[in-house]
Amino acid sequence: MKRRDFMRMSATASGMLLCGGARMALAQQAYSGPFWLFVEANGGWDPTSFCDPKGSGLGVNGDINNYDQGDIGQAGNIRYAPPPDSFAADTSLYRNQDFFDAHFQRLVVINGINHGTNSHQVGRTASWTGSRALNYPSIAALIAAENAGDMALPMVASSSSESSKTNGIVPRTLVNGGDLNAIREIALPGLTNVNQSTQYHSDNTRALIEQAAAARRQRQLNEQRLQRLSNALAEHNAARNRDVSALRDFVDALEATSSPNGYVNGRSNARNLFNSAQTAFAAFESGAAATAQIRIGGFDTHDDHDARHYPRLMDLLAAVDNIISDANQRGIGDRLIVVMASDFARTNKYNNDNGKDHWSHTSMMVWGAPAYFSGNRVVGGTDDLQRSRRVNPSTLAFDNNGIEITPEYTHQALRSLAGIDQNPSVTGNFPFAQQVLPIFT
Amino acid sequence: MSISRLVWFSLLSVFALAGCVREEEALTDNGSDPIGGGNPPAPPPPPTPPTGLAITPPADMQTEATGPMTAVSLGQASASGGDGNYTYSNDAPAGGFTLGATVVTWTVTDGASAQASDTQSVTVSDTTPPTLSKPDDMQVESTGAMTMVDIGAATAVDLVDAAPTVNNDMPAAGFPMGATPVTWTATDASGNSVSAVQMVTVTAPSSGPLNLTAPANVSVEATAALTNVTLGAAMASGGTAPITLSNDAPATGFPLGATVVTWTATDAVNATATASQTVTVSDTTAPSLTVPGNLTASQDAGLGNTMVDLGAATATDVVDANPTVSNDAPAGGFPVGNTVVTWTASDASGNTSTGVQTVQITAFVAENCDDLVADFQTVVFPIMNQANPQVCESCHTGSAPLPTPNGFAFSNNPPTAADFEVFRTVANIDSNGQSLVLAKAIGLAGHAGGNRFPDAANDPDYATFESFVGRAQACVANTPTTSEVSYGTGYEQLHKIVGVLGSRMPTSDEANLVAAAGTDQSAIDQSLAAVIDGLVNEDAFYERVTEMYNDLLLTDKDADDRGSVDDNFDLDAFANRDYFEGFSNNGGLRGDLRENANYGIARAPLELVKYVIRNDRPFTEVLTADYMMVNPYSADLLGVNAGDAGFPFSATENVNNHDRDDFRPVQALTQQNGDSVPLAGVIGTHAFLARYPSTNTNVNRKRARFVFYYFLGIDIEGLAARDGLDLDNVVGEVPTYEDPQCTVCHDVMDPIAGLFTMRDNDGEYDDDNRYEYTRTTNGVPRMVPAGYTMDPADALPGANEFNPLVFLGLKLAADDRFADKTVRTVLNGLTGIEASSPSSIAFVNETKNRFVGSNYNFKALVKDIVLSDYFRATNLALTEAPADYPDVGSGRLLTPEELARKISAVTGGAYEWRGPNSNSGLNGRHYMLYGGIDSDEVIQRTTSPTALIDGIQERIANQVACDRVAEDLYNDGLLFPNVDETTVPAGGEADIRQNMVFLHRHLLGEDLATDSAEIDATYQLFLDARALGETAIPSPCRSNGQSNDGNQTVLPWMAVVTYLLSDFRFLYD
Repeated sequence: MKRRDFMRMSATASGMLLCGGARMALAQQAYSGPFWLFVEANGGWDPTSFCDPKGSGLGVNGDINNYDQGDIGQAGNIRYAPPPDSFAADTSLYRNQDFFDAHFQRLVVINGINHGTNSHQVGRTASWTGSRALNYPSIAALIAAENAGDMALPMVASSSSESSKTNGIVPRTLVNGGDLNAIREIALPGLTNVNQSTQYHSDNTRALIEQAAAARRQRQLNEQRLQRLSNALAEHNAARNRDVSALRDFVDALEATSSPNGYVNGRSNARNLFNSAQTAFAAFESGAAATAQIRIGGFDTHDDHDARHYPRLMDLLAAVDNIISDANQRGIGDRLIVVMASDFARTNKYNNDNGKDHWSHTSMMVWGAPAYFSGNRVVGGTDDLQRSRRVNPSTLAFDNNGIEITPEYTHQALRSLAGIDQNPSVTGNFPFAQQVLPIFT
Repeated sequence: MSISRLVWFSLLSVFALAGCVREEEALTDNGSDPIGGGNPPAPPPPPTPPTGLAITPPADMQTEATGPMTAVSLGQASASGGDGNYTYSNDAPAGGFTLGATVVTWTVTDGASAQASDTQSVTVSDTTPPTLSKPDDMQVESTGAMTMVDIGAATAVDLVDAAPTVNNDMPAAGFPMGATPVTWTATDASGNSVSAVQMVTVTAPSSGPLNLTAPANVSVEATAALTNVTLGAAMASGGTAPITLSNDAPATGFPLGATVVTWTATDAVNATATASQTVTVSDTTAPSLTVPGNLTASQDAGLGNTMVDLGAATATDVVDANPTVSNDAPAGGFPVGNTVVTWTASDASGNTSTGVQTVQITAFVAENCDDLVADFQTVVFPIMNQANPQVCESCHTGSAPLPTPNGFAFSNNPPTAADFEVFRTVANIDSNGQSLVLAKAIGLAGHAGGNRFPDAANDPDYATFESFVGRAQACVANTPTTSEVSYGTGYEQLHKIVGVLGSRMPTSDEANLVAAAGTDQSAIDQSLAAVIDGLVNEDAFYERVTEMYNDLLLTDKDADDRGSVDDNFDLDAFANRDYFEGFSNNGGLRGDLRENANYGIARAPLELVKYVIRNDRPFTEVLTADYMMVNPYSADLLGVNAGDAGFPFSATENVNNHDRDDFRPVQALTQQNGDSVPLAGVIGTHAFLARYPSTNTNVNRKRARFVFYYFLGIDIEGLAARDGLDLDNVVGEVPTYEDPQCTVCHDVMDPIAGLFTMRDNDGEYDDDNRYEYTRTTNGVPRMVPAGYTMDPADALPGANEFNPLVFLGLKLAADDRFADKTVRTVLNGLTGIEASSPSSIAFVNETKNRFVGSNYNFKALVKDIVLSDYFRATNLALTEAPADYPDVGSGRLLTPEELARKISAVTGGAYEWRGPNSNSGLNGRHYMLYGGIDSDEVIQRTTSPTALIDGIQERIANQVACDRVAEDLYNDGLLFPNVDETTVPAGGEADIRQNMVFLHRHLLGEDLATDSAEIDATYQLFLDARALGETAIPSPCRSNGQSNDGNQTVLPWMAVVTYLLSDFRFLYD
């Protein structure tokens, strides 16, 4: 018997707690929407090194990139950068060509998004909430709250930065700590030993405890008139009523996940990102979560840019390549949307330390299953100095009298793609004045 | 002319002038008189000239006589013909020429003795008059109608005439009275004359010595600054008439005081006499005073005395152009009622006059704050929100206003009543005696936006704004006081306080102390204060403080189990960088030493916080301490000995004998290169600097950012969200230095960034790396000067050139915002409250003032907060509106550390919960799953339960009940003081209920009566569980192997304990 099967039996044997108890009463129908994987390139990536190529001879002092314009590649409609000259002969690393050739048909590249800031914190906030205001939740939290609020772990994340902020609208579960045994203990709290079927309390006793506790919680709520305490009581009550049965499947799925043998892209960073995605997929598969925010850092290359930045980009793309393959193997590839973004971009010149500093005109890449939108598209762009070009809001063609693409536009489009842009709780609490651009068609 | 001829000519001239022997005398001795004078003898007839010899004499000449005989330069004759060997001679008189014409005969003789002659006429004239010396003018008394006077004699000399004639025109009959001119004339023989006049004055005869008597002294009252005074007449006698009188009295009048006037008499012969008169001018006249009219005013909005503009009194004075005017108006303002103000005018002489003015203050009737909302919306907010001139717009108003610690942000337009409450709250925060809103508006109080009313004195908008701020400060709010919240019983308060601060249960002494206070809240407060005084000295309190401050500083990222010291720090920063190299790694010793040294370095900031609090030092010392905390292992690296014999670690000793948590202060630190490192509290520690490293282009801005965030409560990165930022039109080559879009924040951040320059990107101190060496490129500034702010007064002083962080620490410590941030940190740490409502902001402000007033006593601050409504409130009176108390009460999900300690505490102290399979507890692998932080990737605690947290809570409740119930029930353990396994409802209900009262009190801090509804409910659960008839105790839950719950007490009690441990009051604070 496989361990996973055993666990399912154990859970069943653990009785009505997970199948017929008070918590089950609140279980919802299975989630059937897309699984959203948000991949953060933390620190500010350099689009000219992959999806918005420029090349030497452009930019300030003609040194926007250390590669020839003539070496710029193209996959379908998407142009991509060659390796910088210093990596031209290095065959050990993943390459842009590998990624874009494999995925261009499912890929929408949005270039020339003006984040309007050079601050990491504000850049991340804009990148992942669509607003530079500090009171908007991340798109991962918003979609989870709107479409998957009743799931056990509606949103999982690997860090607590601005990219996964919730502003209290949905629980965020950070899963970069603990281990499988610990999580299994959590998923099966009624068992004295997760490998056995012994329960602390009989089902009937457990039901009595739940009943008494629920009644007490209600009394407490009824009596409490201070808002903070009342809110905390309500939060506690909701947590105790939450259907956590999916946690069990989450643990099974995690257990069934094998870590990649060795490194992705030959480097630990890419493997770590891939592992984070595997945790997210386990949550997706098990019905515990619908959105996940994972991240890879190291993009804030103020010095020695090419040598430090390019390998990180390749880590990112190699990991996402593997992530998509893993999703397909798990059978969830046809429900997957991967959104890649960063704090902002990097300057159109190298500084005195051969680094690149902060630049607000950046890019986003969205990979999606065929059911959700058409790929092989590049929306927006930048000029030879890497400045945003305006586009016609209807046709998205370059138009000097058009609009400048900002995070509000990209997020309005993502909200529309998630089907939540018209939800009153969204338009009421976190509105955008911008229209929905036809980015995802 | 040849030289010989020139010499010859010269000799001739000299001889002729000097009357020497004439040349012909040397040639012909004719016995004639050698001295010219009289008519010379007729020359002999010239010899017959040889063929062609001829002479040309000098030209005739005329000259002015210089004496009776006048020497004359005759000139030179010339010759022609003959043999050319010429000798010249003439017959000019040797003694000079007399007046009139004289003929001089010139003769030339050549070598053949041939001669030729010719004549020259010399005429001497006399046109020079004599020089005349007349007698002096003179004055004589008359002797009659005509007075004969000996007027003396004049003398005259002349160049030519030895005796020129002298005469005068003196009247032969004598001189009349008065002055008569006498003309003297001298005339020489040539008829040249000269005249001079001598005045001869004949006066009347004298009547005796001249005497003068001045008028009597005068004293008068001043009539002006300079007073005209009638002096009277002086009297003269004797002397020679006529006599004239004069005095030196000031022409424009007399000043105050005594002035001496000197009178002078002068008679006809200029004899004088003087006399003095003293004129005294006095001022005894009071100024004239006009006081302003009586006033009536309303009591000042501050509800104390009222400042009133009394108007101006006017005063005039006959002497003093600017008499002083004063009044006795009360300096602190006028009380309600009538107050008589006495005005006083004083002149320079001390004369005074007074007048009175009555000021009537009518009692203030404050506006209701609700009544100000409309004005805020329609009058004030439009000023704040206008784009040009930009006042608050973009930063504090608009769709995405900047976050500020006190919530001064208005995204609604028009603003709501709640927005006005925010405005009103901030308006009531004091900033050096001024409303914080006004202080910020005019660029004070560290306002990053600078002065928004640069012409405030003349700006009607500012006047409106200022007036409204005053009204907002004064208005009476409907917000009730927080006295209507309930705290629960004394024990309930005690249980909560001891749990949060001491991570334990109350002792019986503490419980008795509070019980003795009864139900009187003030007595309870006193007893709780005494308990708190003890709690803040317990180790557990410092553990909690450490957690609170790591939640802020996150320096534990590099501490504890995070590797070796050489992984996380630049060893060059330590004097004994290779100290541990000499140790064997047998048994992992060297690795342990390095880890413990890493712990020592990384924990230095948090240990400093603890040290400062524990030793009752002003909390500002966390920023100003000139010492650093070290443990035995970091002391080795740093080459310091903290003063104890067993400290630091010695190679001969066992590592286990040295507690890595034994931190002590040391003052003198040096680096591997010998540099002495200036210490500056937390910000100077290696841990802080390495936790927040810099880069060559970031140039310490990150560090500055976190200084603002951690110590001043300013999230400067959050301020970078600027609507309308135009990055396509960036100004300057270095926008952060030049573009106003950037400098608005960088000018705030960069001066402090500059203060970090001497610490390199990893934190090593470099005294060569002074600010001026790094902030310019080719001499062109790239960043603003280092300092606390851009204000020159805040620039880095020269004395701190090599220890700029010391300067920064001192400035931070003195900054009001540091105190504010500290209050917020503690409030949040103890209650979870962010203090964003007007009432909580006001509370923070009041608490901050008390904190500062206590000289930054951290323990007093903790007590202040713990005894406040914000910490203790458990419910609200039915008469109160919940919306008025938006953030009163804690309701904070316990952190995993706190929950772990609580579990141990309620079970007696020795028990620590661990998962049955993972063997991991809330301090282990469940830590992160329960919302903990790793201070690296996860830096914010989870404050709302996730499903994982929910599962952990459930497991803990089940497992602790399993582990402890049978054990305690069978063994008279802590949880069951009133019952044992044999106590059943039949006959034992009272004991069971009493034990339930104990459990509610012990586990939940809930004081209940045995017949209360909650005890009824708990008892009912016990009964219902018994009613199931189950008796099989799960194997992990048995005591002494007892598997059968024959009395049906173990399983029901397990249900009860699980029920209680799942409760909100157990899991939340």
